[in-house]
Amino acid sequence: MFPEFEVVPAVDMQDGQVVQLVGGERGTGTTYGDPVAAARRWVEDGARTLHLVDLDGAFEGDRANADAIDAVLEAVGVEVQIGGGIRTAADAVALLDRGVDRVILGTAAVENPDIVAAIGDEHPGRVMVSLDAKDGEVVVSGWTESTGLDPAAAASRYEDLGAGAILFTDVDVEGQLEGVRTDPVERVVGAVDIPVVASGGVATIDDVRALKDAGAAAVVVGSALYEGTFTLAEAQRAVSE
Amino acid sequence: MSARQTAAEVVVVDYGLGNLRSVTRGLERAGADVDVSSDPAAVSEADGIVLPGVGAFSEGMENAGPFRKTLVEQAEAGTPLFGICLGMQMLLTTSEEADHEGEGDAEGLDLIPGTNLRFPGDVKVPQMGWNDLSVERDHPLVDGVDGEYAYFVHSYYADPEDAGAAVATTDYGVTFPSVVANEAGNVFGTQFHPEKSGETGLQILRNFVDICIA
Repeated sequence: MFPEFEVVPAVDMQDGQVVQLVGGERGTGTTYGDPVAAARRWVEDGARTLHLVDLDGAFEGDRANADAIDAVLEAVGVEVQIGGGIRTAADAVALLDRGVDRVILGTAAVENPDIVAAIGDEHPGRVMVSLDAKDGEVVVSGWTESTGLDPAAAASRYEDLGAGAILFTDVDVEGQLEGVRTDPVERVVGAVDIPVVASGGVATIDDVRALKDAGAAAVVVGSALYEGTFTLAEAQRAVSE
Repeated sequence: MSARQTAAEVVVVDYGLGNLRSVTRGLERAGADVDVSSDPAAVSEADGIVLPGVGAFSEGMENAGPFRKTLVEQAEAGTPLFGICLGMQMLLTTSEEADHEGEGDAEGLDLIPGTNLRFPGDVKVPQMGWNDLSVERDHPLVDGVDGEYAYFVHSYYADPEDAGAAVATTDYGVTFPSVVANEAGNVFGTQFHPEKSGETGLQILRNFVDICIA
């Protein structure tokens, strides 16, 4: 996956609406309407992959946005990765059976690392482990609990368990539109051979470039695209030059 | 109702392997009337047939066994038959995958003579992700498509006996045919997943629908 650097639009959903949180905190952020309209727009703008997050699932552990997810899968034909509230191998397999290309496991992978191998054995390369870092440590449960794990060490361990990719989110800069930090990304990239997708805090095209230079295989962008700071085409063009 | 009368009726062959939702959705987006069927009789009624597929060659051929006769008859009668991913590989005569997996030999549909080979050891398998297409010759399936990206997930690739069967090629350690077609032109396949390949894929699915109603 991600044979070339990609800018991947985020479609984070809460109560069936697109929302971008600030610093991962519930109740913050801005809503941006219908997920299907957003997904269609990103694909028309050239997205090859969409990053869907079920925020209700992430916080509550249930799947309040199942209908919205199905509607997005119905509407667009691109690679789709999805996360938020996937707690069991059965949850993950059900999503893969619905046509999702990659499932993103965060809390479940931290609490029960074997789940990565369990899903990956049946569906090689389909598991992306999400490591959200706050103050240099992996955090779980919608960024509310710290685990004491080092993100680079954790990434390497999940690679050994068969993860197809790592999603690395720098929670400290997520949703703030204040720019990225490349050091934590470089450390994770240096620890594994599988693709590392960076997310969090991308405010400018320079941030996109910086993450590419840090070795990320792709970057997930939310607020900056929704706020029109730059367009998907502009960002993709800038990193193809 | 007038639109319905001109819509292509496409049967997606359901032989019990893999997920057919994405391909069904893709065909619907392209304007087809889609019937997912596990009944060989339904296949013989369709304007066009899609042979999907995920997984291992031998298992695929074994599961598709009940469809073999109908698929070959329809292909010979000129009905458009579109194989996707493993479904494309099944259009050929055989596959190395059977040897690798220790499943004995497996007979493909032999509609496009040739075999399927495993990628050389120096590239990561499966190839999973986007790669580009280089159109080698005209075929209505690739009208309006060139140098475009498509979405691949596979460890084996088609190696047709007739080099002219390659409609488009892609590089991944080797240059392999990513779109193949038979001489008559009505049996064809893509190694990539058009239903996941954005606008390029949609164009290919629309072309397929046009072929079905032509």
